[in-house]
Amino acid sequence: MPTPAIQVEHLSKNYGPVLAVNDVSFEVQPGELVGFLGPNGAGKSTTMRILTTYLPASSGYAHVAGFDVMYQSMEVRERIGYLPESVPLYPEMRVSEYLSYRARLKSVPRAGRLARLDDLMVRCRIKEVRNRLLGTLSKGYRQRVGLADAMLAAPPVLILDEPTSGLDPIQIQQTLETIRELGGRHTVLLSTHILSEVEKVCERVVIINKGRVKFDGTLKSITEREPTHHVEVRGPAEEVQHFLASQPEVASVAVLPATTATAADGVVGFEVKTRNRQDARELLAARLTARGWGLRGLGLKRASLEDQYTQVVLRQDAAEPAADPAAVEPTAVVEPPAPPAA
Amino acid sequence: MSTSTPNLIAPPPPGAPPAETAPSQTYDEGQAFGRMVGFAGLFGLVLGGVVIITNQALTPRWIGSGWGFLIAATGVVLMLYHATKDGEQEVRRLYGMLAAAFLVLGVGASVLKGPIFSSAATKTFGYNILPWGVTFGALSLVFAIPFVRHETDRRYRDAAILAMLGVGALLAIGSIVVGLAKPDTLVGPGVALALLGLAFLCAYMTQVDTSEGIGFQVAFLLGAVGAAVAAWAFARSAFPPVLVEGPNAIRKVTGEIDLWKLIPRLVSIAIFLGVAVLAYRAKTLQGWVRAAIIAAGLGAAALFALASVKANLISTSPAPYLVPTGVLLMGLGLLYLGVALAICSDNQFVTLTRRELAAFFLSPVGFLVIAGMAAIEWLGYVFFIAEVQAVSRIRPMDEPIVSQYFVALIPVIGLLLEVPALTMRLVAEEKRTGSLEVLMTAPVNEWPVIGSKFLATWLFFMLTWVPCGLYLIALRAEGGVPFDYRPMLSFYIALGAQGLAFVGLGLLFSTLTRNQIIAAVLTFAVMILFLATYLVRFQAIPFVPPLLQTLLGKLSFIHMWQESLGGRLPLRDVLVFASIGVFSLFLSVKVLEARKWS
Repeated sequence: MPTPAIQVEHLSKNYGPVLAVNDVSFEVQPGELVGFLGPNGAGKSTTMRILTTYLPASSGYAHVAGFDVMYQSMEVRERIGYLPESVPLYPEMRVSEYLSYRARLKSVPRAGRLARLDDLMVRCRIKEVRNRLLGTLSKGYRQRVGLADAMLAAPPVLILDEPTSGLDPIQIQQTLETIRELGGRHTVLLSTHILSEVEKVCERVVIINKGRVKFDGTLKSITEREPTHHVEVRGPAEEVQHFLASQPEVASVAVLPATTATAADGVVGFEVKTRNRQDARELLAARLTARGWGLRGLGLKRASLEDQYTQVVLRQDAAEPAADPAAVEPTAVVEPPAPPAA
Repeated sequence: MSTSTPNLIAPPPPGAPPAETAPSQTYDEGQAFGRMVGFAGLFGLVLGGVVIITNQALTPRWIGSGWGFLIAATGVVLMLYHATKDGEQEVRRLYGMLAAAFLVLGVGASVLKGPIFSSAATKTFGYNILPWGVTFGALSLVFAIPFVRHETDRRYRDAAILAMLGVGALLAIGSIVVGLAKPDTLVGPGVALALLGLAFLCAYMTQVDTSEGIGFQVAFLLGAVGAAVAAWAFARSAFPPVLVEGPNAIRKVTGEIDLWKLIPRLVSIAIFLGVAVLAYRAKTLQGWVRAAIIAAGLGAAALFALASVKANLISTSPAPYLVPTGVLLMGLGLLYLGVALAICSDNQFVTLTRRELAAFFLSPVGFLVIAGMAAIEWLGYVFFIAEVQAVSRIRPMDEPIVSQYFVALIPVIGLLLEVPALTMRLVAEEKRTGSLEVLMTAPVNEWPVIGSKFLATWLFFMLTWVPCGLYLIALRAEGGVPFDYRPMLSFYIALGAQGLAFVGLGLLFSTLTRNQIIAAVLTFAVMILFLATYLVRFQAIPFVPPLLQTLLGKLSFIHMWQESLGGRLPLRDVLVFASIGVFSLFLSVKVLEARKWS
């Protein structure tokens, strides 16, 4: 097994009494594209700052490309490209000047440096503003200059803090395309709020909330999770529930809380999970109608990243402050899904 | 302004890169104001030129040459403003032609025998180089730069850049070659032309990329020539006397070895061997460069060693070479080397320093500070002149007359305001905008970051004090009476040491906070404290114990100015200020590192 590109072990960071990152552990293998998700203030940027050696951790270890971020800071910095959240740039410099300056700072070899800059400016689509002052650039161009800067020295690990914020939809697509091209050769840790972006680009997600890792798994593992059936039946609630639970295909049944629309009609909603990810819609429909109950609705809902995210964040909010020790395990914790956020 | 129509965007000439369109097309407002300024400037230049020529060619006129120079200079400044603002094709090409015309004028003035308008039969070659040839050359350069920056047609641009390179190389190397052959030419025209050539080369190197290719080779060759010239001038100045003196140089008159003369000799041998070792270990340099440096270092060391043991290697005493030729050549060579290194070195410290220096010149703050300091120093100069005139009416003034130069309060106030203005933004701004995070996550240590900011600010600080030396040159030229200028050198040494301390402290306060105002106020408070030490020194303050009074008195920078301008440079005080600077530099680095102490 090769050295993990990023290895975080029991990392904590407190700013005075505020615990920003609380016992976070995860690993990223070389060449992986990992989405780092979480609500505002979850500790994403702090974790990234520790990984880029800018801040020290309060406790725990972090290794990038096998080097400790605290004690081998120089080796780590030679191997990362970092795009900070607000992309601070020197306003009085021109784009090409700035990139040339950063290239010298990062010891990009003299031979081929011009070609490298040119290639990056084309790839990040900033060639047309190469002679503009950085202070006059719009947010989207600043983001892309920052991305070009992060990729300058062709670092094996890229740490991108919200690379698509402030871009328009076309630019987001182009930037994500650029990032996806990096996969395989580079390890990318990418933080964002926008889940659809992660679904487009990343193979794996780490969801963090209130400084703790709440979910760590591949996108595939989420979509392959057992689908849930939503069944709305008019009939005696307990009897229907028993009947559904007694079916051989069904693994579990839960009663959904009644809404005003359904309760008035005497309709009860159920959430049904089947074994082996079967699609039991037609079977259930036939059997329910055969019993003479009125079937109002029957749908299949596949698990999505959004559900997972909502679940993790909401459950955390509900369960505060009781910490859930099982949640920090690196594999997904499958639990009966919470009621959909209405 | 409302009547001026927006300029139509001219279709780009073939081969030009596509026009910059992002994020939206910008339309310049009409260039009416710039053009008016440009025309006024042209009028002034022509008028001034006519006035000067008529005064020179005919008898003195009603309007004298002095006014002519003033009008022409104002005109040139106005035209330069227009040239930098207006990139319209016709306008920029006109200014390009003006640059070429000035170049032709400069060459013409240099090759014509002078004085031109005199009817005397004896005219000398090169008479006009120093005021006119160099001035026209410089004018040509300052108009060529905006032309090259604005020109979009590759052919014209390349031709102009190539012309810059040609003129620069010819002047920079030619004047040194001539100076080597005829050392007399070096004082005055030689140095002026070499500096002009260097300016042309610098302009060339800022217009092409110096990462690789021809731009890099030009910079590299410039550095190589500079190093070779400096080395040769050193060898030519140092070796003949050493060889003539032979082993006697390290012996007392009685014949035994003098330890105090032996140690410097051994140190110099060690230095040359060290140079050779350094070159041997610098694997990144090209082979022939390393070989040349190693050979030079070993050769020099061997020569010193040989001269220490063997007598009479040269019997006749050579003519002294060091002053002024050797010093000038060494200075020029080192300047070439320094410029080449500053432009094309990839060293992180050099890269950072270059950016920090550029930041001063790319923001209005830098120019404001320079202009303000020039004005303040001019006020000090005016008071000084008044004093000199008042005294010299009664009796001849005692040397050194410059000891009266800075007794006025105004330069002190200038210093107090200048230092916070220069240092407050250094780290505080980077902390506030977050660019410090970008900087510190690049593979670069705290020392080069702080050190480069410190060095760049110190260089800029010294630059703001250059005008007060220039004013004295004006006094010498206008007054026509030689005076002892050397105390100014010791004043600059004292100022340099104080600059280390003040810039260091300002940098420290800037590192401590992310608010520029707080940094400026803290720096200003410390400057006031330094000012107060002057009072402590000369007025007994009842609540200050005598020992503290003595100690604080040593920190009085005004007292140090007075001493050094009187020609009594207090070395101890220089060391005190320099060590304050180094200590605050150390503290700044530690403060920056402290974010990682947990």
